[in-house]
Amino acid sequence: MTASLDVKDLRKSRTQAGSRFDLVVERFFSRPGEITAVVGESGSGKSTLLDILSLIMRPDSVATFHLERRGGDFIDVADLWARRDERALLRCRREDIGYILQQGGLLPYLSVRDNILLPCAILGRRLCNEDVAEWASRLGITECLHRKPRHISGGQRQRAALLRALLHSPTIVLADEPTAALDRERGREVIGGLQEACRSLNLSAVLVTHDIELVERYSASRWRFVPERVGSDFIRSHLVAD
Amino acid sequence: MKGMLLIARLCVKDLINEKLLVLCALLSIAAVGAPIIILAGVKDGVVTGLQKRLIQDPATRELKLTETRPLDDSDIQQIAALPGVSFVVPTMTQGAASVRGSGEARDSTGRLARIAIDLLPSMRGDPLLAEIGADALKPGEAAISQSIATGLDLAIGKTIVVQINRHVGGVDEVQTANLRVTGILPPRLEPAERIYTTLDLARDIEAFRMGIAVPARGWPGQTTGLEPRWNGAIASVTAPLDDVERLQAKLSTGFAAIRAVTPYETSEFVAGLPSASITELATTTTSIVGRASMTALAERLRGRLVSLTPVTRDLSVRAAATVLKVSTAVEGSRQDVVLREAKTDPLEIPFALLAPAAIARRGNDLALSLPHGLVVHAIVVGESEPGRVVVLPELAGVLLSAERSGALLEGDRLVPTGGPKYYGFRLYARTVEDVAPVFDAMEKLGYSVLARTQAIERVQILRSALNLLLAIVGSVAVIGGTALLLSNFYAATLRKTPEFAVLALLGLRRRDLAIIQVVQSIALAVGGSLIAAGVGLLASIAANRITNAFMALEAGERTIALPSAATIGVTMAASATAAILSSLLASTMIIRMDISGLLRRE
Repeated sequence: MTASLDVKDLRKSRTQAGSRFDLVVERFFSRPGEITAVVGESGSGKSTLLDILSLIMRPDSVATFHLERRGGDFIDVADLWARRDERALLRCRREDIGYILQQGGLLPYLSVRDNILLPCAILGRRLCNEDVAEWASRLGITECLHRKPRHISGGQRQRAALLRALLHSPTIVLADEPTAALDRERGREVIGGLQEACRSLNLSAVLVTHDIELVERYSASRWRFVPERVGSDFIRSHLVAD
Repeated sequence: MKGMLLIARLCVKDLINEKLLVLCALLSIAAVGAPIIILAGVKDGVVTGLQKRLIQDPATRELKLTETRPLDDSDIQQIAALPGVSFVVPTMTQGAASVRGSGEARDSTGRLARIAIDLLPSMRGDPLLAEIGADALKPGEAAISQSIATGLDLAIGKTIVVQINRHVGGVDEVQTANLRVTGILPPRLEPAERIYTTLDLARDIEAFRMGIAVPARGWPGQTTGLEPRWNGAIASVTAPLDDVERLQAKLSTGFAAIRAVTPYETSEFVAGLPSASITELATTTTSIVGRASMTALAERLRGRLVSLTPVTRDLSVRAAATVLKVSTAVEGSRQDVVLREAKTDPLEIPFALLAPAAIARRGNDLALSLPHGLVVHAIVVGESEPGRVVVLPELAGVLLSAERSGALLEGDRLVPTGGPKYYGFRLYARTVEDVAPVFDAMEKLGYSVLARTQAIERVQILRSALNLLLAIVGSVAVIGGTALLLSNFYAATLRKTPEFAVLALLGLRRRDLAIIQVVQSIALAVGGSLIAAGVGLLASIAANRITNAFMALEAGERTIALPSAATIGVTMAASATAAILSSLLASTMIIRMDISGLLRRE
């Protein structure tokens, strides 16, 4: 099976408060229909990796960054970065990537339904109500659709965020510790929903989490960060297949 | 287009979601804008109202003659031809003529009420009548002031009876003229009790009062001879008068003032008064008085009076190429006796005089020329001091009347001249701006006039002061409003950057996110301005209702002008500009935001 996402020789160096942190990814990929889990300690580079994968952060260098689009085409993101083609990068971010934030990232002034439809609205796509209703039903948030995010529970908020990340038919969904604020049961519901979506929509998902139980239960492949202390204030973090 | 619609939708949804904060922001902007709108309204209302009044009020454009001056038609035509003059009408006296008027009101005894009123001539184009929309007066018509209308219970279409009195040959005579009221002048235009009639009637009234018959109106009277009139009197009294006595003595006599005079000054007016006499001089302002005034003054000084000699303060004659002042002989004096013995009585008055020896000798016939061209002959019956002639008071009075009425001698009779003779005018400049040039032109022609240039200057100063105040308050408000918007958007942007980061993550361009801020800030500024305009409107209406109750405002006048579309537009534009400037900071923050860090803060 080919990978939806294939990254080789990626490096990103960051300096914060006098300390240097280098992210080194020799190889990383994620297959369609599967959840790829990434685990690591706090500060190991999980968020940096997600920011790069979501195209909101540019790596210092990368040999290969291929993203498979629906229909089989590949986008050479490394080339887009090299050419500084911001337009194409933005289009790629809009169309091919879904993102689930730790707290859901729902806009407080839109209803749950409007939040869910926002990526489609940005793309100028009109989604039929049946699709929304079907997925809302599958994720158990039908009753929440017309409420504001502050009026629903954390689990419902994360499921709504999941739905928002799915409905515009991206290639890959990036989930940044989506269960961190939920209890185990609610966490399972959310990741279960993600797994179901990956399978039914042939999506690839990258799940960054601390929850090993979830990783073992739902992910098909696992990656972890291995920190290497180079100096007193210099850490190099390697992403390796587990 | 879809992108813009999405941005607009996000703006609206966000504003609705934060309705309480939005309301506070709107009220804050309104609190800054409303006082400026109200202040602008005060400036427009008060100053524009005053200016409008000044522009509209004919009194502002009127130039008043400050002296009595003989004028004829050519003088009036010369004034009318001056650039900037819109209207001039001659008057028979410097001011108005006094008559009595009656209408439909009755006094407490049931008789028709009569009040003393001033009569002035009017002509086509009179700005006073134009101001009330009345047509030019036709014969038999009059316009009256509101105070007359109220006092005599008159209205347009009713008849006012004007009563003209004269005292001729020791007899009081009265004539009346019935005039239909065609206009009533409000107090703003004519605060005094005045009636405006045709120039012909005013001229006839003056002629009648001078003792001249007016056959066209059926007013009988002398057609030969003139009633003597004077403009002063020397009273020889037993003891000097104090100020209160002088005030009481002049009341209702026609004299304007009474003052003590030195023997030297007395000798300038009269001849034959003993040198030890205590004298008082009674004078008029510019008018002339007849025998009735002399009788009234003598009555007032009864018990204190030794002699009362009428004098002509302003009269001089030309004889043998020399200008001679006319003095009058004191009754019972040697000069009086000599003059009365002369039997030259074409007008039942001895045309005799005492003249300087250098001019003529006793028994000579001396030709006396008056300024208006009248030449009379008098017999020299004695000698006077150099520079003056001495005549009987009656002759001096007749000569003054002749001078004032433009009378000429026909055969052995003094008769009125054909041409009118005026002593003043009512003059109006075309516009307020024309007042100063007309004033200067009149000064150049030798007329001493008064104009309300100070009132115009005062309004201009007031307007400048309010403009400055408005500029200061406006600047402070714009700075304050900009600071308010700036802090508002800065705080809002800081609070909302995680949401903007989410939108950026979902694929909205940073430029679009900045537009959201700009659109929201403009919406708040325009909304706040509209509220400010509404508050200004309500405050203006309320203030106008309160002030209208005790301020005499004309229809359509306001203390505070209602906010105009231009004022609201300028306020909105200023607010929107301030909002755009303020939102630029917010936009910069969005353009530079660290999406990655903000997503973790979310």
